[in-house]
Amino acid sequence: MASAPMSIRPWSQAIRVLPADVRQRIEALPSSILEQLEEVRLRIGRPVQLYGDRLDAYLAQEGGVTEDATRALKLDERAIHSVLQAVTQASLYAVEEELRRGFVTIAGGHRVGVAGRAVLDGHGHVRTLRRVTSLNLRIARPCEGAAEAIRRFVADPASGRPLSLLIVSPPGCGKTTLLRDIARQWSSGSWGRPVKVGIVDERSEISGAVDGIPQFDLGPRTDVLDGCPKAEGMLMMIRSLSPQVLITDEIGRAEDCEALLEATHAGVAVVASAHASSLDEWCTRPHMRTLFEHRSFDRYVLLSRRHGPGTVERVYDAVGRPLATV
Amino acid sequence: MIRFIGAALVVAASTGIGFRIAADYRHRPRQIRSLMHALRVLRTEIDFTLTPLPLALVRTAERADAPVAHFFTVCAEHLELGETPAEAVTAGVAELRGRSALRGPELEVLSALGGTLGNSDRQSQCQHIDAALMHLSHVEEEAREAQRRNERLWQYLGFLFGLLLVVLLY
Repeated sequence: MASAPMSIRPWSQAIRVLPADVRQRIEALPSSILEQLEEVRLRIGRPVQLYGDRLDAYLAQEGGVTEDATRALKLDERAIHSVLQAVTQASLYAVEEELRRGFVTIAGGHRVGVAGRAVLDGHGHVRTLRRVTSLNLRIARPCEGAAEAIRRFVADPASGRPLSLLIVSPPGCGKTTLLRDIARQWSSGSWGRPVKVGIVDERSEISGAVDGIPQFDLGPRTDVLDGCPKAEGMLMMIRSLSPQVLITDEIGRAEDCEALLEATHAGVAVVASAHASSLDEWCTRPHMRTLFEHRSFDRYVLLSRRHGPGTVERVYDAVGRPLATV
Repeated sequence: MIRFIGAALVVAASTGIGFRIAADYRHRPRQIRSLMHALRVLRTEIDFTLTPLPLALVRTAERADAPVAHFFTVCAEHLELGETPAEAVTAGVAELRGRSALRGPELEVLSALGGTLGNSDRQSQCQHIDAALMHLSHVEEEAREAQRRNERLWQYLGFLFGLLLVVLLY
C-alpha cells in the first residue's frame, strides 16, 4: 500500500470543500484556534460553528471568532449545496451508501456528516437523504503512536504472537484511531516481528478510504477490504488473504459473533472495537456474552476521554481480571 | 486563359462548399451514433462501478471518438473547476456546436441530460441516460433521412451553382 499523503496541517486539506468566503476566514484564524479545530458545522441560515476540545464559537462576519450569533457568518442553501457538490464530486449516486450511513469520507480521511430529509424505501429503510440542511466537516488528525500505551498487552509475552484485543469505550474516545495505530504498528514491525494485517472496514472509518483507497498510513503489510459487511468480510479475509491480525470495528450483531469465533478458531488474532462504557455492560449483550464465554479475546482495553480522547482506563485479561490501570 | 482558370476556380470553390455541406449531412448520423455509444459507456460507469462524475467523464472521453470525446473532456474539466454538472454540460455543448456536425436537436437532448446528471441515485441516473438514448435514436433516424435527401443534393448543387456563376460571368 502506498503511504497516504497526510498534510502537516490536516485542516487545510479538509476545508478545501468549503465555500471560498468560509475558507478564507478559517485560514486567517490564529493557529491556536486552528490546532484545536475538530469540526466545522454548517447549517442553512445558521451561523458557521467551529468546534473543538476547548473551542465552541461562531465564525465572525468580519473575520475571527465570535460568541455573538448576530455577528456570525451565515450560509444560505446555495452555499450548503455547493459544499455538498464538492464533497460528493457532483455525484450523489456514487455516495448513496455513504449517505445512508450519514457521512461521506473525503480525500485525507476527513468525514462530512450529513443531515436532511430522509427518503425511505419500501421496507422502511433509509434510501437516501434529500434537502440536506446540515453538514458537519470533521477534521481527521493522524495520531501516530496512539497505541503505544497498550504496547505491553498486545502480544503473547512468551512467543511474541499477536493477541486478540477488544477495545471498549463510549463514542468519541478514540477507538478507531487506536485500531488504526494498532494496524500500523503490527504491520510495520514496530511491535516485534512484522505481521500481515487485514482490515475489514465496513464503513470506511478505519482506513478513511475514498473510492477504496485508504487515506491513512496503515503500514506496509496491510490489506483493506473497504465497504464490505464485517461478518462476510472477515471470512473473505481469512479465506483469501491469510492475515495474522484481523482488524474490524463496532462488532455487535449475531453474524459478527459467528465470524469472530470462526476467525479466532482459525488462529487469527482479532482486534475489534465495541460501544460500551464498561466491560460488564458489553457482556450484557446477548451475542457478546457468547464471545466472552468462549474467551475469544485475550485482552479487553477500556478507553475514556478523561485526559483527552484515547485515554486507556483499564486493561483486562480473557476472563475479565484487571491487568493494569494506565 | 486567365478567364478559364478563373472559371475553373469558381466551379471548384462552389463544388467544395457543396461537398462541405454534404459532408456535414454525412457525418451527423455517425456522430450521433458515437455520442450514443459514449453515453452507454457513461451509463456503465455510473451503474456498475459508481464512478464519481469527473472520473466517469474522463473515462468516457477515453473511449469515445473525436468530436464527442472532446465534449466529455471539456465537461470533466469544467466540473473539476467546481461548476455544477449542468454548467459543465452547457460549456461542453457550446464546444460541440462549433466543432462537430451535431445540430440543435441532439445538443438539446444533451443539455437536458446535463440538468439531471449527478443529482440523483443510481437508478434514476440510468433512467435519465436511457431516456436521452431513446431520444437520440429518434434524432439519429431523422438525421439519416436528412442525409439521404440532402447529401447528393448539396454535392450537385455546389457544382451546378458554380457552373451557373461561370455562365453568368462569361
